[in-house]
Amino acid sequence: MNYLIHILIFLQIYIILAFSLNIKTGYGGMFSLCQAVFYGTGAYVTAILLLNGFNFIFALVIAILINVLFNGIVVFYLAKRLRELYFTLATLAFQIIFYGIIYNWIKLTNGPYGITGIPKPIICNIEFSSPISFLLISTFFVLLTIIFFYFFHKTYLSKMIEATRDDEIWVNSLGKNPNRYKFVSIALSVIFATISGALYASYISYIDPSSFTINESILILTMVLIGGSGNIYGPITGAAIYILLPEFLRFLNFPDHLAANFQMILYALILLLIIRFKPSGLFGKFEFKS
Amino acid sequence: MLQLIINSFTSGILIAMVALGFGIIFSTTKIFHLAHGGIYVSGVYFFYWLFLVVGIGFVYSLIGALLFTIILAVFIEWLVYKPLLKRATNPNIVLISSLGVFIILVNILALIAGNDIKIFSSTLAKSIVISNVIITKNQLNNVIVGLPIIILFNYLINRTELGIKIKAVSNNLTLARVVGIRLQNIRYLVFILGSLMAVGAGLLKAFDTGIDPYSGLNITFTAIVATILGGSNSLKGTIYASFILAFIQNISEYFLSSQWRDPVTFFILMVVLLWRTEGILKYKIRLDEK
Repeated sequence: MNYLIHILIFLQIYIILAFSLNIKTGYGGMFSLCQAVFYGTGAYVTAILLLNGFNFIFALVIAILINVLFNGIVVFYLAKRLRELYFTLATLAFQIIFYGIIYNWIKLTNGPYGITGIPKPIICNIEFSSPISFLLISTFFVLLTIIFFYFFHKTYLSKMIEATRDDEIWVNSLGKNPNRYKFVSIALSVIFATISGALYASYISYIDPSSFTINESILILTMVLIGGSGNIYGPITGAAIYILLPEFLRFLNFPDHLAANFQMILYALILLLIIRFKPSGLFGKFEFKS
Repeated sequence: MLQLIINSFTSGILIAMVALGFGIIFSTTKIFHLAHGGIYVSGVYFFYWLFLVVGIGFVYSLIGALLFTIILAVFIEWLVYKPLLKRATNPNIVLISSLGVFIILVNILALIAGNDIKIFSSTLAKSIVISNVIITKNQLNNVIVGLPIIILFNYLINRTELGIKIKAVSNNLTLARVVGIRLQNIRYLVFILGSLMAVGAGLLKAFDTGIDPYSGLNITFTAIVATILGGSNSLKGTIYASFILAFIQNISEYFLSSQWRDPVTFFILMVVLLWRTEGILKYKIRLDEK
């Protein structure tokens, strides 16, 4: 039972993460390889604040603020200046610089040894320490995310973000500033990535830089690509495939030392097949074309 | 100091070889060929298998490895990139599918050969000591083998008819087609040439410090930075940029730590992308050029 709950919690964390990238890549059209930066900053800031005895909600809010003000602004600046491939490259660079910083800033992040003993969230004097109670909290955030994006999809703002993706000059000609919509989509992306980072840190209670590498960013991006973007089913499917695939392989009694490699091969194969035969992703409406 | 310069010169040759291979593919096909790193490693592993496991002579193994590289390069282009070309896909999608190919190649290697570092000779290499400068035999190998290959490559691209054809395709695709150049053949050729350069560098690197399946991505990233630093159409620029990068990497390793090497490299990339785009890049990235 605990095993199932564990998988469910992870699935929910990744669903939030996939949604957070979907708003930036799917709606905003910004292909970024630095989602693990937002995720990681969220995890680290909440971890440090929780260890210093702060409230979970307070820590989350501070983490969101820090994340938007630093990482959000950096990525927004990149998005403002660069297009297409060069934006992707710059976000890749940002990701690798971030990894270098959390790896080497020993005083704050404890470097490669990671931060241990992160306390479980306490909200209204109730400690969410057992897996099943944590499931409650993560389910709350997942539902919040899904409902938010369900309604956000119908708003004017969302349509303008999509318009910016499709034709920036057209948005400009309406007298709107496309950069504003870019900033909104990046900020939303940062906020939800922070939430999932905070959940991850307090659930696992141990974080180290190896969870926030470029590989993580690539995986999050592939989740969105496999699931497809533009509606709420895509990110859920993408995250589900990524989380459930290794568990499925476990039932096939695959030898353990080969499982990780085999899983990556299978995952990359799925990605290639989707790009080849259904470029909009499994449920997507929108296809990346030049 | 002199030691630093010599070290950067010898590692710069390796970077230049990979970067030239990457650059020729990127400028001609506009494909962001991350699988380059996968080819770099697979060629070396095939050589390793022929040379040490099967045990045929050095020359035969070398020929075998190069043939394998050619087949692999053509296969990847035929299976993955060619279908995408027809649909005129977003360059970022091509990048992701290239990443997928990379993941598959590397994990297949890890499945077959294991994750550990493969070393060709376990004894310490002989070195030449001139006053206080140490040059190892492998570094000398880099210069003796690598430098002629780079010069030959330059000659091939700049002086022969084949090279002119490749340049024509990279400069103006439509015009090149009008003149009657067969685009597909040029693409295959470019992939073969680029991959051979990568495997050459990989072999030199393997004889120097050994190689593991994941080492390809790192040098590909460095090569990408060198290519963009040097301007995507200029061979000379790429070569100079490779040496500059190698020097900066060596300096940052010497004064900071080896963990800062990649962040520093990518910080340079970010700076170049943001503030020196016009002078160095020749590929349209700005909105108003679109």
